[in-house]
Amino acid sequence: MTATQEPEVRTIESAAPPVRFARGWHCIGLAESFRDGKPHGIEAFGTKLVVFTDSEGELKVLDSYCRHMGGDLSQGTTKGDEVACPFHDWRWGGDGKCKRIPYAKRVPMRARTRTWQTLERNDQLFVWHDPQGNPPPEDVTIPEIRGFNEGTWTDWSWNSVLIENSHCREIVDNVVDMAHFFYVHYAFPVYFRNVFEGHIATQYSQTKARADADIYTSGEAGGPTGPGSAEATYFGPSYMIDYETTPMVFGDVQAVLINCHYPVSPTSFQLQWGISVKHPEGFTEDQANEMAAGFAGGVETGFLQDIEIWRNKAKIDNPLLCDEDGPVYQLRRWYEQFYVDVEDVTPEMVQRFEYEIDVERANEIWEKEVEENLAAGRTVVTAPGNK
Amino acid sequence: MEPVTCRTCESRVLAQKNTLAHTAIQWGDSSRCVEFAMAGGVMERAMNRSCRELRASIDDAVRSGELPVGPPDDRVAQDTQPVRFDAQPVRHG
Ligand code: FES
Ligand SMILES: [Fe+2]
Repeated sequence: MTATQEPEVRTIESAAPPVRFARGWHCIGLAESFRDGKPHGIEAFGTKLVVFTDSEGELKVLDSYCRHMGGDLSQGTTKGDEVACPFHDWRWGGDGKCKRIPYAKRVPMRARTRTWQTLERNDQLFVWHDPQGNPPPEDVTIPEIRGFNEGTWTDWSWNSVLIENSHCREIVDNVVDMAHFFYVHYAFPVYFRNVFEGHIATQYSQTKARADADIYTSGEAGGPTGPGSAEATYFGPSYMIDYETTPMVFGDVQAVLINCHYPVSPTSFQLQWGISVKHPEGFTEDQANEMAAGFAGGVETGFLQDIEIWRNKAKIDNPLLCDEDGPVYQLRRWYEQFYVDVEDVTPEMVQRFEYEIDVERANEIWEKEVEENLAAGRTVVTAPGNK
Repeated sequence: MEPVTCRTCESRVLAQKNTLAHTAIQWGDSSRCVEFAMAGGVMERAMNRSCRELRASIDDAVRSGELPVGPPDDRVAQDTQPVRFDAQPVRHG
């Protein structure tokens, strides 16, 4: 065969990451973690924010850099309803206005800094980011977690990690990635469907653990008795609620997983995840917490598996797909709506799109692979802590 | 993708079946769909897994041969337009 008969080498296309940050609600952490009476700094959206509590206990968010001489308000203190700058003690209110300069007769005109609109939902604190400066449309909000007011749920187990040299689009791609479940998370995706509409994107899936993977601690309660199902939805560009149902001998275990992030710079983002598990009926508090801790551990393992991939992969604008892959291009078109001005959002970005993958053939092949591994006594991974 | 009309609400969508178990549906306007209308607002509509009426209409189209089942030859051409997030200058409001 001569060189000319061979297909051309595929090149990876990759433009520089966008300089702007997504429009939408971004979760910046558990609300409670900001309620210790001190100002907190959050590096986000290419700048720094300060989160503080006023005397009513309401959380306020401002630009952290003081408009006087650039002092960092998050290093200051909360005094009454205001945050006081550590540099010259200027007092900034939650409405963005400078209320007082203790050593001056009057506050200069235009002594006003940027405020960030906040929302407290699901025990978490959100800020609204829009490069155009518009308020959030009424129907663009963070919903309350379904079923959270029925029964007892464990406190959030919450984690946060800075991902550098990566754009947050990488994590959003996961919404359509069926095959990585097998290779990265050691689970069979036995059902996989996506729906995108408006600012919302969902992944419906069912997965069961690989028998050749020594990774999922089963504990005293034993392992799952069948495939677990998940409904994982992004509400906007960065906040996902994932409802997970896992059948166990004693009944279904309901867990809610939050997967969210906020951009720090165009090439880094803070990834956060939290998990809460519903106390199964007949469980004591201790038993429920122990089981939840086991679940949280499993979820954390999953995140670390993804992170390892993101940290090392290339940004690719032109993925080469096979028929068993999910709708990566359509998902990215959906995601693009958050990076253009509202008046430039095109119908294709928001019109409803549904995609169900035929997972049958892939699973047949994977079952065979697992059988061969079992027959040969091979285990694909041993998680630290598992024997 | 081929046009399919819902037997109940007459919404026209584009559908594609690579295999019997695979389905892709590109909606235009989804506001006529009766099942979604019952769901309520934008959020509830988006959180609807699928419309059973449309699903049945697609199955009918497959049975009648109107909607061929098989991998589309044009898939690569159609799907690989890189989405680049060409950033626009930030306008502060
Ligand atoms: S820089 Fe903040 S008070 Fe001077
Ligand atoms: Fe993943």
